[in-house]
Amino acid sequence: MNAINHIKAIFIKQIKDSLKNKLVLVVFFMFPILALVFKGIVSDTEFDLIMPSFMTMNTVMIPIIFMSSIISEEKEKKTLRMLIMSNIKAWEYLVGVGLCVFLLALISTLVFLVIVPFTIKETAVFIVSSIIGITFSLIIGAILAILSKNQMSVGPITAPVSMAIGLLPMFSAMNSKIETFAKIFYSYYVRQSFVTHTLNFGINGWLILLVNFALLISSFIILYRIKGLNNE
Amino acid sequence: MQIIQINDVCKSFKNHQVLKNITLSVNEGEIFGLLGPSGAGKTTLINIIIGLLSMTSGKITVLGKEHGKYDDELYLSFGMVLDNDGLYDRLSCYDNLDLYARIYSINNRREVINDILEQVGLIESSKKSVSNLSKGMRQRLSFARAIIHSPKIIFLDEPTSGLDPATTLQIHSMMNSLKKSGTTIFLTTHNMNEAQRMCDRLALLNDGIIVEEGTPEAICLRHRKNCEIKIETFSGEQYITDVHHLTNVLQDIVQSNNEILRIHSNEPNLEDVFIELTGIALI
Repeated sequence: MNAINHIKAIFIKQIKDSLKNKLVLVVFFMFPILALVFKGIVSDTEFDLIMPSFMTMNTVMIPIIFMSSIISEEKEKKTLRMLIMSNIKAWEYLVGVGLCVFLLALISTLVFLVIVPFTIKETAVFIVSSIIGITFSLIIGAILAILSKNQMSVGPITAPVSMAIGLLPMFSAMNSKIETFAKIFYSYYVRQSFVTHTLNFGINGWLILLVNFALLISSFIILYRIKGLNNE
Repeated sequence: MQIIQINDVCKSFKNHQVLKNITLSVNEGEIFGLLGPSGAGKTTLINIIIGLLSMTSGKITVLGKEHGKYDDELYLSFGMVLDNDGLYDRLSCYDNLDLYARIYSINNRREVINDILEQVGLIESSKKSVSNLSKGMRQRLSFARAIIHSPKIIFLDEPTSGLDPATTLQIHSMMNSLKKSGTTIFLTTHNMNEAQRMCDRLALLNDGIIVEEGTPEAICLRHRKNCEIKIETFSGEQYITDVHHLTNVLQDIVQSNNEILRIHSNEPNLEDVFIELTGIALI
């Protein structure tokens, strides 16, 4: 009961804080807005080519950036220290913040449903893939937050990681060598599902996703045990 | 009843020893002050007591629970105003307190929060973002957050540092109200007047060592050297003498048709004691 209360308190706090942070809202809706702009200026064929990449970047990059910057800001401003000293467990905090980022990322992803005319089946695939992409990226965001001491140090780590994970699938469409490399990351399969509107990744694809998840979770646990969440 | 017991605590950061064999205790319901200059180790000690830092050696017990084995129940007994206020800048005063009211599962949140905001004089600013508050207002809000769950012990790390006299008085008044309600207060300060006025007992900390401990009066009396007596007259003259020569000085004043304005025993204040013990002033 206490844990639920704690998670709820953190979630409500994070929603209020995010809604008061205009920069957060701009970044959350940057890709859907860009998609709308592109829809107005490119042909339908070009739009169909560009859109999966926009959707992938939105799904995998935004949660990484936000999860890591929220936690590192809390570390820097010592608000996290105060929460931990008030009986909030690190996992309760992560779930509360993670749920908020997940919800906002999902909302921004769902904006694409208004822009792109999906069938019901395609919509279902899109939502499932988005949930997979957002969840994996949230874990990466939490890992990067543990690695960084403050907001200044989180940027240099988050930018290359989120760009690599978000942009690799797009480049893989242009080069087979890049594609071979990109196939080891979950973001490739997220983009694939946005292109093909199916979840047919084959056994290898699902295995790779499973390994990705296992690696991310175990990296998170190991780093958390070594450094802790509030490693001031 | 001793609520905090600290025995032989040492703390080192790499090769630098910050705390050296600290032993002290804090009684229930008292305001205990840790007085010392910047860099003496006050914040380190408070951070160790509340469990934010580990100690290199020694033993600390708070409400019967050993350091390193603190549980959720013990943390519920703590209220804290630390060196960094840890407030959410974008949230309002009300929302900052609402977060903690939810964490502590406080019933009638709205009433409790408004009541506390009223107590700390921030009810008019309840909807203001914390980023728009002055330093004094932020400190009062931190204070409100520290007491929202009626803790048994409050740790105040330099709560009035850099504040204007009016806000300082408000904070002192809140501390007195808490003391009346039976709350124990552990205060660190480098302000000698604050320590002398507010603390029931205090310890003087310098360079990681406790150089003196007791009630402010007892400490000052202990360091009174030659029982000096200061006499001031209406004409503005000052005489400093001791008990052996007091009669002669008084006779001189009467013979010169002067009237005595005040006679004062000239015991040292805490700052004098600190300088005498350490050779440095409290900064």
